[in-house]
Amino acid sequence: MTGPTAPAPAVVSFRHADIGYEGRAVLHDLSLDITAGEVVGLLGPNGSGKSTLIRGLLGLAPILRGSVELFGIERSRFKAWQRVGYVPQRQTVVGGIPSTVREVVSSGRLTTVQPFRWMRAADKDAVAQAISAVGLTSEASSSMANLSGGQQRRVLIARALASAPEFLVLDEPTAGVDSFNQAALADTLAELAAAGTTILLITHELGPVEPLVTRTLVLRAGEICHDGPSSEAPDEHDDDWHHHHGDPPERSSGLGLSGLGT
Amino acid sequence: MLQYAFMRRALLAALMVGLTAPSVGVYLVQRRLALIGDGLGHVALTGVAVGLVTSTTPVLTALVAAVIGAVVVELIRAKGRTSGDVALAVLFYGGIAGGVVIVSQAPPGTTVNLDAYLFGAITTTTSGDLLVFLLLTVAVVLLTLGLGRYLFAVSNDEEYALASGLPVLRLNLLLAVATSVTVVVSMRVVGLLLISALMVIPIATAQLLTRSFRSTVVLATVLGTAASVLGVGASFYADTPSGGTIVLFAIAGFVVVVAAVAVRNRLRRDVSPAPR
Repeated sequence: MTGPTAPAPAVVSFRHADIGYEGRAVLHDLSLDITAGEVVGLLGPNGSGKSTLIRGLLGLAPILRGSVELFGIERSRFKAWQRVGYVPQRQTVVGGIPSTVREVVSSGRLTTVQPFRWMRAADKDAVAQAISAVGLTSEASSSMANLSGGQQRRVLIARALASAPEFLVLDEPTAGVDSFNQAALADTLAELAAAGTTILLITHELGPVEPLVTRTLVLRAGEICHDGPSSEAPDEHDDDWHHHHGDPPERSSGLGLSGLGT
Repeated sequence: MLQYAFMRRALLAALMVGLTAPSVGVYLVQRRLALIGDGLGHVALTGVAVGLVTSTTPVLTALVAAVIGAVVVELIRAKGRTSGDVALAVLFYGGIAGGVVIVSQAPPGTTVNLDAYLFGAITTTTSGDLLVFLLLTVAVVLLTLGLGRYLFAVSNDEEYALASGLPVLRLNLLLAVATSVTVVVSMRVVGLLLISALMVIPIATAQLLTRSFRSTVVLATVLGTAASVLGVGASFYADTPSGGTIVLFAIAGFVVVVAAVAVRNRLRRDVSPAPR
Protein backbone atom coordinates (compact mmCIF):
# COMPACT_ATOMS: atom_id res chain seq x y z
CA MET A 1 0.00 0.00 0.00
CA THR A 2 1.39 3.33 -0.93
CA GLY A 3 0.26 5.87 1.56
CA PRO A 4 -0.75 9.24 0.15
CA THR A 5 1.99 10.79 2.29
CA ALA A 6 4.72 8.71 0.63
CA PRO A 7 7.27 11.21 -0.71
CA ALA A 8 8.62 8.93 -3.45
CA PRO A 9 7.04 9.49 -6.91
CA ALA A 10 5.19 6.55 -8.42
CA VAL A 11 7.37 4.56 -10.80
CA VAL A 12 4.26 3.16 -12.40
CA SER A 13 0.70 4.20 -11.82
CA PHE A 14 -2.44 2.48 -13.14
CA ARG A 15 -5.64 4.57 -12.96
CA HIS A 16 -8.90 2.69 -13.55
CA ALA A 17 -7.15 0.90 -16.37
CA ASP A 18 -8.73 -1.77 -18.55
CA ILE A 19 -6.01 -3.68 -20.39
CA GLY A 20 -6.52 -6.41 -22.97
CA TYR A 21 -6.37 -7.38 -26.60
CA GLU A 22 -8.61 -6.57 -29.57
CA GLY A 23 -11.11 -4.78 -27.37
CA ARG A 24 -11.46 -7.63 -24.86
CA ALA A 25 -10.32 -6.51 -21.42
CA VAL A 26 -8.29 -9.01 -19.39
CA LEU A 27 -7.72 -6.58 -16.53
CA HIS A 28 -10.66 -4.54 -15.29
CA ASP A 29 -10.56 -1.13 -13.63
CA LEU A 30 -7.03 -1.62 -12.32
CA SER A 31 -5.74 1.07 -9.98
CA LEU A 32 -2.26 0.56 -8.59
CA ASP A 33 0.83 2.58 -7.69
CA ILE A 34 4.31 1.14 -7.39
CA THR A 35 6.76 3.55 -5.78
CA ALA A 36 10.52 3.78 -6.06
CA GLY A 37 12.44 1.11 -4.20
CA GLU A 38 9.56 -1.35 -3.84
CA VAL A 39 10.11 -5.01 -4.70
CA VAL A 40 6.69 -6.25 -5.73
CA GLY A 41 5.81 -9.91 -6.21
CA LEU A 42 2.85 -10.39 -8.56
CA LEU A 43 1.10 -13.69 -8.04
CA GLY A 44 -2.04 -15.40 -9.28
CA PRO A 45 -3.21 -18.42 -11.22
CA ASN A 46 -2.68 -18.85 -14.96
CA GLY A 47 -4.96 -16.57 -16.93
CA SER A 48 -5.45 -14.15 -14.05
CA GLY A 49 -3.86 -11.32 -16.03
CA LYS A 50 -0.35 -11.14 -14.58
CA SER A 51 1.42 -11.00 -17.93
CA THR A 52 -1.22 -8.66 -19.34
CA LEU A 53 -0.54 -6.24 -16.48
CA ILE A 54 3.14 -5.94 -17.32
CA ARG A 55 2.48 -5.99 -21.06
CA GLY A 56 0.13 -3.08 -20.47
CA LEU A 57 2.76 -1.06 -18.68
CA LEU A 58 5.43 -1.87 -21.29
CA GLY A 59 3.29 -0.83 -24.23
CA LEU A 60 2.86 -4.36 -25.57
CA ALA A 61 -0.85 -4.54 -24.79
CA PRO A 62 -3.31 -1.69 -25.41
CA ILE A 63 -4.87 0.34 -22.60
CA LEU A 64 -8.57 0.13 -23.44
CA ARG A 65 -9.78 2.54 -20.76
CA GLY A 66 -8.23 4.60 -17.98
CA SER A 67 -4.53 5.42 -17.94
CA VAL A 68 -1.09 4.04 -17.18
CA GLU A 69 1.76 6.38 -16.26
CA LEU A 70 5.47 5.61 -16.05
CA PHE A 71 7.55 8.01 -13.94
CA GLY A 72 4.61 10.42 -14.07
CA ILE A 73 4.30 10.37 -17.87
CA GLU A 74 1.37 8.88 -19.80
CA ARG A 75 2.56 5.61 -21.34
CA SER A 76 1.85 6.59 -24.95
CA ARG A 77 4.05 9.67 -24.52
CA PHE A 78 6.75 7.94 -22.46
CA LYS A 79 10.09 7.93 -24.28
CA ALA A 80 12.72 7.16 -21.63
CA TRP A 81 12.50 3.39 -22.03
CA GLN A 82 16.11 2.96 -20.88
CA ARG A 83 14.71 3.59 -17.37
CA VAL A 84 12.66 0.39 -17.63
CA GLY A 85 14.26 -3.04 -17.97
CA TYR A 86 12.15 -5.98 -19.19
CA VAL A 87 12.84 -9.68 -18.84
CA PRO A 88 10.27 -11.57 -20.92
CA GLN A 89 8.90 -14.96 -19.99
CA ARG A 90 10.40 -16.67 -23.00
CA GLN A 91 12.76 -19.41 -21.95
CA THR A 92 15.32 -18.94 -24.68
CA VAL A 93 16.40 -16.45 -27.27
CA VAL A 94 18.14 -18.88 -29.59
CA GLY A 95 17.16 -17.60 -33.03
CA GLY A 96 18.12 -19.10 -36.34
CA ILE A 97 21.59 -17.51 -36.24
CA PRO A 98 24.33 -18.02 -33.66
CA SER A 99 24.79 -15.07 -31.34
CA THR A 100 27.03 -14.56 -28.35
CA VAL A 101 26.02 -13.58 -24.83
CA ARG A 102 27.66 -10.19 -25.40
CA GLU A 103 25.73 -9.59 -28.62
CA VAL A 104 22.39 -10.39 -26.99
CA VAL A 105 23.13 -8.25 -23.92
CA SER A 106 24.28 -5.38 -26.17
CA SER A 107 20.81 -5.25 -27.71
CA GLY A 108 19.61 -4.05 -24.30
CA ARG A 109 21.85 -1.00 -24.62
CA LEU A 110 20.40 0.29 -27.90
CA THR A 111 18.19 2.87 -26.23
CA THR A 112 21.37 4.83 -25.56
CA VAL A 113 23.52 3.92 -28.59
CA GLN A 114 23.18 6.19 -31.62
CA PRO A 115 22.56 4.61 -35.03
CA PHE A 116 25.49 4.75 -37.51
CA ARG A 117 27.94 5.11 -34.60
CA TRP A 118 30.29 2.68 -32.93
CA MET A 119 29.41 1.66 -29.39
CA ARG A 120 31.23 4.00 -27.02
CA ALA A 121 33.48 2.72 -24.26
CA ALA A 122 30.77 3.62 -21.73
CA ASP A 123 28.30 1.39 -23.56
CA LYS A 124 30.74 -1.50 -23.71
CA ASP A 125 31.43 -1.08 -20.00
CA ALA A 126 27.71 -1.10 -19.23
CA VAL A 127 27.30 -4.33 -21.20
CA ALA A 128 30.27 -5.94 -19.45
CA GLN A 129 28.90 -4.83 -16.08
CA ALA A 130 25.46 -6.25 -16.82
CA ILE A 131 27.03 -9.59 -17.79
CA SER A 132 29.09 -9.58 -14.62
CA ALA A 133 26.00 -8.73 -12.52
CA VAL A 134 24.46 -12.06 -13.53
CA GLY A 135 27.78 -13.88 -13.07
CA LEU A 136 28.36 -14.84 -16.69
CA THR A 137 31.56 -12.92 -17.45
CA SER A 138 33.39 -16.12 -18.33
CA GLU A 139 30.68 -16.95 -20.91
CA ALA A 140 30.52 -13.49 -22.53
CA SER A 141 31.88 -14.75 -25.86
CA SER A 142 30.01 -18.06 -25.79
CA SER A 143 27.22 -18.79 -28.19
CA MET A 144 23.77 -18.64 -26.59
CA ALA A 145 23.08 -22.11 -27.93
CA ASN A 146 25.81 -23.56 -25.69
CA LEU A 147 24.26 -22.24 -22.46
CA SER A 148 21.82 -24.05 -20.21
CA GLY A 149 18.23 -22.80 -19.93
CA GLY A 150 18.98 -21.20 -16.57
CA GLN A 151 22.04 -19.42 -17.95
CA GLN A 152 20.01 -18.15 -20.91
CA ARG A 153 17.52 -16.70 -18.42
CA ARG A 154 20.37 -14.87 -16.72
CA VAL A 155 21.48 -13.49 -20.09
CA LEU A 156 18.00 -12.03 -20.59
CA ILE A 157 18.27 -10.38 -17.19
CA ALA A 158 21.68 -8.97 -18.14
CA ARG A 159 20.12 -7.61 -21.35
CA ALA A 160 17.50 -5.80 -19.27
CA LEU A 161 20.23 -4.44 -16.98
CA ALA A 162 22.40 -3.13 -19.82
CA SER A 163 20.60 0.22 -19.89
CA ALA A 164 21.00 0.55 -16.08
CA PRO A 165 17.23 0.74 -15.51
CA GLU A 166 15.62 2.17 -12.37
CA PHE A 167 12.65 -0.14 -12.80
CA LEU A 168 13.03 -3.83 -13.60
CA VAL A 169 10.07 -5.92 -14.75
CA LEU A 170 10.48 -9.70 -14.81
CA ASP A 171 7.95 -12.24 -16.11
CA GLU A 172 8.44 -15.58 -14.35
CA PRO A 173 12.21 -15.28 -14.00
CA THR A 174 12.53 -18.52 -12.02
CA ALA A 175 10.17 -20.74 -14.02
CA GLY A 176 11.94 -23.81 -15.32
CA VAL A 177 15.27 -22.72 -13.85
CA ASP A 178 17.38 -25.13 -11.78
CA SER A 179 18.02 -24.31 -8.13
CA PHE A 180 21.61 -23.19 -8.69
CA ASN A 181 20.55 -20.65 -11.31
CA GLN A 182 17.55 -19.59 -9.17
CA ALA A 183 19.95 -18.78 -6.33
CA ALA A 184 22.26 -16.87 -8.71
CA LEU A 185 19.28 -14.92 -9.95
CA ALA A 186 18.09 -14.13 -6.42
CA ASP A 187 21.57 -12.83 -5.57
CA THR A 188 21.49 -10.52 -8.59
CA LEU A 189 18.05 -9.20 -7.66
CA ALA A 190 19.12 -8.71 -4.03
CA GLU A 191 22.03 -6.53 -5.13
CA LEU A 192 19.79 -4.51 -7.43
CA ALA A 193 17.16 -4.03 -4.74
CA ALA A 194 19.84 -2.95 -2.27
CA ALA A 195 20.99 -0.38 -4.82
CA GLY A 196 17.46 1.03 -4.95
CA THR A 197 16.13 -0.55 -8.17
CA THR A 198 12.35 -0.89 -8.19
CA ILE A 199 11.40 -4.45 -9.11
CA LEU A 200 8.13 -5.98 -10.29
CA LEU A 201 8.26 -9.71 -10.75
CA ILE A 202 5.65 -12.19 -11.80
CA THR A 203 6.05 -15.56 -10.22
CA HIS A 204 4.21 -18.73 -9.38
CA GLU A 205 6.22 -19.17 -6.22
CA LEU A 206 8.50 -16.67 -4.59
CA GLY A 207 11.08 -19.30 -3.68
CA PRO A 208 14.57 -17.88 -3.23
CA VAL A 209 13.47 -14.29 -3.94
CA GLU A 210 11.03 -14.40 -1.00
CA PRO A 211 13.25 -12.42 1.43
CA LEU A 212 13.53 -9.54 -1.04
CA VAL A 213 9.88 -8.96 -1.72
CA THR A 214 8.44 -5.98 0.15
CA ARG A 215 4.91 -6.15 -1.22
CA THR A 216 2.72 -8.88 -2.63
CA LEU A 217 -0.07 -8.48 -5.18
CA VAL A 218 -2.39 -11.35 -6.00
CA LEU A 219 -4.44 -11.18 -9.18
CA ARG A 220 -7.56 -13.21 -9.74
CA ALA A 221 -9.71 -13.08 -12.86
CA GLY A 222 -8.31 -9.71 -13.88
CA GLU A 223 -8.65 -8.00 -10.53
CA ILE A 224 -6.34 -7.47 -7.58
CA CYS A 225 -7.59 -9.62 -4.72
CA HIS A 226 -4.69 -9.11 -2.35
CA ASP A 227 -2.33 -6.16 -1.99
CA GLY A 228 -0.20 -5.82 1.05
CA PRO A 229 3.19 -5.83 2.67
CA SER A 230 4.53 -9.31 2.30
CA SER A 231 4.62 -9.72 6.10
CA GLU A 232 0.82 -9.71 6.07
CA ALA A 233 -0.89 -13.07 6.42
CA PRO A 234 -2.90 -14.28 3.43
CA ASP A 235 -6.49 -13.13 3.69
CA GLU A 236 -9.76 -14.87 2.89
CA HIS A 237 -9.44 -14.07 -0.79
CA ASP A 238 -6.27 -16.01 -1.22
CA ASP A 239 -7.83 -18.98 0.53
CA ASP A 240 -10.83 -18.68 -1.69
CA TRP A 241 -8.69 -18.50 -4.77
CA HIS A 242 -6.77 -21.54 -3.68
CA HIS A 243 -9.86 -23.67 -3.15
CA HIS A 244 -11.74 -22.60 -6.22
CA HIS A 245 -8.92 -23.06 -8.63
CA GLY A 246 -7.54 -26.17 -7.06
CA ASP A 247 -3.92 -25.21 -7.39
CA PRO A 248 -1.57 -27.81 -5.97
CA PRO A 249 -0.77 -27.13 -2.29
CA GLU A 250 2.88 -26.33 -2.92
CA ARG A 251 1.79 -23.47 -5.15
CA SER A 252 -0.34 -21.84 -2.50
CA SER A 253 2.25 -22.37 0.18
CA GLY A 254 4.67 -20.94 -2.36
CA LEU A 255 2.85 -17.66 -1.93
CA GLY A 256 4.90 -17.46 1.21
CA LEU A 257 2.86 -14.60 2.53
CA SER A 258 3.43 -15.56 6.14
CA GLY A 259 6.71 -14.94 7.86
CA LEU A 260 8.13 -12.56 5.30
CA GLY A 261 10.20 -9.89 6.96
CA THR A 262 10.58 -6.54 5.28
CA MET B 1 37.09 -14.04 -70.22
CA LEU B 2 37.89 -10.58 -68.87
CA GLN B 3 38.52 -9.27 -72.38
CA TYR B 4 34.72 -9.25 -72.87
CA ALA B 5 33.00 -6.11 -71.59
CA PHE B 6 29.79 -8.05 -70.85
CA MET B 7 31.75 -10.44 -68.64
CA ARG B 8 33.38 -7.60 -66.72
CA ARG B 9 29.92 -6.17 -66.11
CA ALA B 10 28.51 -9.56 -65.14
CA LEU B 11 31.35 -10.17 -62.67
CA LEU B 12 30.88 -6.74 -61.09
CA ALA B 13 27.15 -7.40 -60.77
CA ALA B 14 27.94 -10.80 -59.24
CA LEU B 15 30.24 -9.17 -56.71
CA MET B 16 27.49 -6.76 -55.66
CA VAL B 17 24.89 -9.52 -55.35
CA GLY B 18 27.33 -11.57 -53.28
CA LEU B 19 27.79 -8.64 -50.89
CA THR B 20 24.16 -7.59 -50.51
CA ALA B 21 22.21 -10.87 -50.51
CA PRO B 22 23.76 -12.39 -47.35
CA SER B 23 23.92 -9.10 -45.44
CA VAL B 24 20.16 -8.72 -45.82
CA GLY B 25 19.41 -12.44 -45.72
CA VAL B 26 20.95 -12.94 -42.29
CA TYR B 27 18.15 -10.89 -40.68
CA LEU B 28 15.49 -12.67 -42.73
CA VAL B 29 16.78 -16.09 -41.67
CA GLN B 30 16.93 -14.97 -38.05
CA ARG B 31 13.31 -13.85 -38.23
CA ARG B 32 12.37 -17.09 -39.98
CA LEU B 33 11.22 -15.12 -43.01
CA ALA B 34 13.78 -16.75 -45.25
CA LEU B 35 11.47 -17.10 -48.23
CA ILE B 36 10.30 -13.51 -48.33
CA GLY B 37 12.98 -12.74 -50.94
CA ASP B 38 11.43 -15.38 -53.16
CA GLY B 39 8.04 -13.69 -52.90
CA LEU B 40 9.48 -10.28 -53.67
CA GLY B 41 11.20 -11.77 -56.72
CA HIS B 42 7.76 -12.79 -57.98
CA VAL B 43 6.45 -9.28 -57.43
CA ALA B 44 9.47 -7.76 -59.18
CA LEU B 45 8.56 -9.78 -62.28
CA THR B 46 5.43 -7.66 -62.72
CA GLY B 47 7.70 -4.63 -62.60
CA VAL B 48 9.96 -6.14 -65.26
CA ALA B 49 6.95 -6.82 -67.47
CA VAL B 50 5.70 -3.26 -67.12
CA GLY B 51 9.16 -2.02 -68.05
CA LEU B 52 9.30 -4.22 -71.15
CA VAL B 53 5.84 -3.26 -72.34
CA THR B 54 6.35 0.46 -71.81
CA SER B 55 9.98 0.38 -73.02
CA THR B 56 11.21 1.67 -69.66
CA THR B 57 14.38 0.29 -68.07
CA PRO B 58 13.13 -2.96 -66.47
CA VAL B 59 15.54 -2.57 -63.54
CA LEU B 60 13.81 0.61 -62.43
CA THR B 61 10.24 -0.66 -62.85
CA ALA B 62 11.21 -3.87 -61.01
CA LEU B 63 12.61 -1.75 -58.19
CA VAL B 64 9.36 0.18 -57.86
CA ALA B 65 7.26 -3.00 -57.89
CA ALA B 66 9.47 -4.83 -55.39
CA VAL B 67 9.60 -1.90 -52.95
CA ILE B 68 5.81 -1.52 -53.04
CA GLY B 69 5.47 -5.28 -52.55
CA ALA B 70 7.87 -5.24 -49.61
CA VAL B 71 6.06 -2.42 -47.84
CA VAL B 72 2.67 -4.10 -48.33
CA VAL B 73 4.03 -7.42 -47.00
CA GLU B 74 5.49 -5.74 -43.94
CA LEU B 75 2.31 -3.83 -43.18
CA ILE B 76 0.28 -7.03 -43.46
CA ARG B 77 2.73 -8.76 -41.13
CA ALA B 78 2.55 -5.88 -38.64
CA LYS B 79 -1.23 -6.22 -38.51
CA GLY B 80 -0.62 -9.78 -37.37
CA ARG B 81 -3.85 -11.05 -38.89
CA THR B 82 -4.25 -14.78 -39.28
CA SER B 83 -5.08 -14.20 -42.93
CA GLY B 84 -1.53 -12.89 -43.46
CA ASP B 85 -0.47 -16.06 -45.26
CA VAL B 86 -3.28 -15.78 -47.72
CA ALA B 87 -2.55 -12.11 -48.34
CA LEU B 88 1.07 -12.99 -49.07
CA ALA B 89 0.04 -15.75 -51.45
CA VAL B 90 -2.21 -13.33 -53.32
CA LEU B 91 0.60 -10.80 -53.58
CA PHE B 92 3.29 -13.26 -54.65
CA TYR B 93 1.33 -15.27 -57.17
CA GLY B 94 -0.40 -12.11 -58.32
CA GLY B 95 3.11 -10.79 -59.00
CA ILE B 96 4.21 -13.66 -61.20
CA ALA B 97 0.81 -14.00 -62.92
CA GLY B 98 0.72 -10.26 -63.62
CA GLY B 99 4.25 -10.51 -64.97
CA VAL B 100 3.57 -13.19 -67.59
CA VAL B 101 0.25 -11.68 -68.66
CA ILE B 102 1.60 -8.15 -69.03
CA VAL B 103 4.66 -9.38 -70.93
CA SER B 104 2.39 -11.10 -73.46
CA GLN B 105 1.10 -7.63 -74.35
CA ALA B 106 4.53 -6.39 -75.37
CA PRO B 107 4.48 -4.57 -78.73
CA PRO B 108 5.11 -6.85 -81.71
CA GLY B 109 8.80 -7.13 -82.51
CA THR B 110 9.93 -6.88 -78.88
CA THR B 111 12.15 -9.82 -78.03
CA VAL B 112 11.24 -10.95 -74.56
CA ASN B 113 13.43 -13.51 -72.83
CA LEU B 114 11.79 -14.07 -69.46
CA ASP B 115 14.19 -16.91 -68.71
CA ALA B 116 17.03 -14.42 -68.37
CA TYR B 117 15.09 -12.47 -65.73
CA LEU B 118 13.96 -15.57 -63.86
CA PHE B 119 17.20 -17.58 -63.84
CA GLY B 120 19.93 -15.06 -64.64
CA ALA B 121 22.15 -14.60 -67.69
CA ILE B 122 25.68 -13.26 -68.03
CA THR B 123 25.13 -11.29 -71.22
CA THR B 124 22.33 -9.03 -70.04
CA THR B 125 23.90 -6.57 -67.59
CA THR B 126 24.12 -3.08 -69.13
CA SER B 127 26.35 -0.22 -67.99
CA GLY B 128 23.20 1.60 -66.89
CA ASP B 129 22.22 -1.41 -64.76
CA LEU B 130 25.66 -1.41 -63.17
CA LEU B 131 25.30 2.19 -62.07
CA VAL B 132 21.90 1.51 -60.53
CA PHE B 133 23.23 -1.67 -58.86
CA LEU B 134 26.20 0.24 -57.46
CA LEU B 135 23.98 2.91 -55.87
CA LEU B 136 21.64 0.28 -54.44
CA THR B 137 24.52 -1.83 -53.13
CA VAL B 138 26.10 1.13 -51.36
CA ALA B 139 22.72 1.98 -49.81
CA VAL B 140 22.12 -1.59 -48.59
CA VAL B 141 25.63 -2.01 -47.19
CA LEU B 142 25.54 1.34 -45.37
CA LEU B 143 22.11 0.54 -43.97
CA THR B 144 22.93 -2.94 -42.75
CA LEU B 145 26.24 -1.81 -41.24
CA GLY B 146 24.91 1.38 -39.65
CA LEU B 147 21.71 -0.12 -38.29
CA GLY B 148 23.01 -3.66 -37.81
CA ARG B 149 22.61 -3.64 -34.04
CA TYR B 150 19.03 -2.43 -34.33
CA LEU B 151 18.14 -4.94 -37.03
CA PHE B 152 19.72 -7.64 -34.85
CA ALA B 153 17.68 -6.59 -31.81
CA VAL B 154 14.42 -6.54 -33.77
CA SER B 155 15.13 -9.85 -35.53
CA ASN B 156 16.34 -11.52 -32.35
CA ASP B 157 13.38 -10.59 -30.13
CA GLU B 158 10.79 -8.31 -31.68
CA GLU B 159 8.68 -8.06 -28.54
CA TYR B 160 11.66 -7.04 -26.43
CA ALA B 161 12.62 -4.45 -29.05
CA LEU B 162 9.10 -3.01 -28.86
CA ALA B 163 9.22 -2.92 -25.06
CA SER B 164 12.53 -1.07 -25.16
CA GLY B 165 10.99 1.62 -27.33
CA LEU B 166 12.83 0.86 -30.58
CA PRO B 167 11.04 1.98 -33.78
CA VAL B 168 10.24 -1.62 -34.72
CA LEU B 169 7.84 -0.93 -37.58
CA ARG B 170 10.22 1.51 -39.25
CA LEU B 171 13.14 -0.92 -38.89
CA ASN B 172 11.06 -3.74 -40.34
CA LEU B 173 10.05 -1.53 -43.27
CA LEU B 174 13.69 -0.61 -43.87
CA LEU B 175 14.68 -4.27 -43.90
CA ALA B 176 11.82 -5.07 -46.27
CA VAL B 177 12.89 -2.30 -48.64
CA ALA B 178 16.53 -3.45 -48.42
CA THR B 179 15.34 -6.94 -49.33
CA SER B 180 13.50 -5.71 -52.40
CA VAL B 181 16.53 -3.65 -53.42
CA THR B 182 18.68 -6.78 -53.15
CA VAL B 183 16.21 -8.69 -55.30
CA VAL B 184 16.58 -6.05 -57.99
CA VAL B 185 20.40 -6.03 -57.79
CA SER B 186 20.25 -9.79 -58.38
CA MET B 187 17.92 -9.76 -61.36
CA ARG B 188 20.60 -9.80 -64.06
CA VAL B 189 23.05 -12.48 -62.96
CA VAL B 190 21.10 -14.53 -60.40
CA GLY B 191 17.53 -14.10 -61.51
CA LEU B 192 14.30 -13.30 -59.70
CA LEU B 193 13.38 -16.91 -58.93
CA LEU B 194 16.78 -17.84 -57.53
CA ILE B 195 17.87 -14.80 -55.52
CA SER B 196 16.31 -16.12 -52.32
CA ALA B 197 18.79 -19.00 -52.40
CA LEU B 198 21.67 -16.55 -52.14
CA MET B 199 19.99 -14.82 -49.20
CA VAL B 200 19.63 -18.10 -47.30
CA ILE B 201 22.23 -20.72 -48.27
CA PRO B 202 25.43 -18.77 -47.45
CA ILE B 203 23.92 -17.98 -44.02
CA ALA B 204 23.04 -21.63 -43.44
CA THR B 205 26.59 -22.60 -44.39
CA ALA B 206 28.27 -19.93 -42.28
CA GLN B 207 26.30 -20.65 -39.12
CA LEU B 208 27.62 -24.20 -39.07
CA LEU B 209 31.07 -22.73 -38.43
CA THR B 210 30.45 -19.64 -36.30
CA ARG B 211 29.25 -18.83 -32.81
CA SER B 212 28.63 -15.09 -33.07
CA PHE B 213 26.22 -13.12 -35.19
CA ARG B 214 28.91 -10.81 -36.51
CA SER B 215 31.19 -13.62 -37.68
CA THR B 216 28.17 -15.27 -39.32
CA VAL B 217 27.50 -12.11 -41.33
CA VAL B 218 31.13 -11.74 -42.39
CA LEU B 219 31.60 -15.38 -43.38
CA ALA B 220 28.24 -15.54 -45.19
CA THR B 221 29.18 -12.47 -47.21
CA VAL B 222 32.49 -14.06 -48.20
CA LEU B 223 30.74 -17.33 -49.15
CA GLY B 224 27.99 -15.51 -51.05
CA THR B 225 30.49 -13.45 -53.01
CA ALA B 226 32.58 -16.53 -53.80
CA ALA B 227 29.57 -18.51 -55.05
CA SER B 228 28.35 -15.58 -57.08
CA VAL B 229 31.65 -14.75 -58.79
CA LEU B 230 32.60 -18.41 -59.35
CA GLY B 231 29.13 -19.11 -60.71
CA VAL B 232 29.33 -16.32 -63.27
CA GLY B 233 32.82 -17.45 -64.31
CA ALA B 234 31.75 -21.07 -64.66
CA SER B 235 28.64 -20.15 -66.60
CA PHE B 236 30.88 -18.37 -69.14
CA TYR B 237 32.95 -21.50 -69.78
CA ALA B 238 30.16 -24.05 -69.45
CA ASP B 239 27.56 -21.93 -71.27
CA THR B 240 24.95 -22.36 -68.53
CA PRO B 241 22.44 -19.91 -67.03
CA SER B 242 24.38 -17.96 -64.42
CA GLY B 243 21.70 -17.96 -61.68
CA GLY B 244 21.44 -21.72 -61.57
CA THR B 245 25.21 -22.09 -61.68
CA ILE B 246 25.67 -19.63 -58.78
CA VAL B 247 23.11 -21.41 -56.63
CA LEU B 248 24.70 -24.80 -57.36
CA PHE B 249 28.04 -23.39 -56.17
CA ALA B 250 26.39 -22.10 -52.99
CA ILE B 251 24.79 -25.52 -52.37
CA ALA B 252 28.10 -27.28 -53.03
CA GLY B 253 29.69 -25.06 -50.36
CA PHE B 254 26.91 -25.96 -47.94
CA VAL B 255 27.29 -29.71 -48.56
CA VAL B 256 31.07 -29.57 -48.17
CA VAL B 257 30.78 -27.69 -44.85
CA VAL B 258 28.07 -30.02 -43.51
CA ALA B 259 30.32 -33.00 -44.31
CA ALA B 260 33.41 -31.35 -42.83
CA VAL B 261 31.58 -30.46 -39.62
CA ALA B 262 30.25 -34.01 -39.31
CA VAL B 263 33.76 -35.44 -39.75
CA ARG B 264 35.18 -32.93 -37.24
CA ASN B 265 32.54 -33.82 -34.65
CA ARG B 266 33.22 -37.51 -35.08
CA LEU B 267 36.97 -36.99 -34.68
CA ARG B 268 36.40 -34.90 -31.55
CA ARG B 269 34.16 -37.53 -30.05
CA ASP B 270 36.80 -40.17 -30.73
CA VAL B 271 39.65 -38.13 -29.26
CA SER B 272 37.93 -37.08 -26.04
CA PRO B 273 34.64 -38.14 -24.47
CA ALA B 274 33.44 -34.54 -24.56
CA PRO B 275 31.94 -33.12 -21.38
CA ARG B 276 29.12 -31.43 -23.31
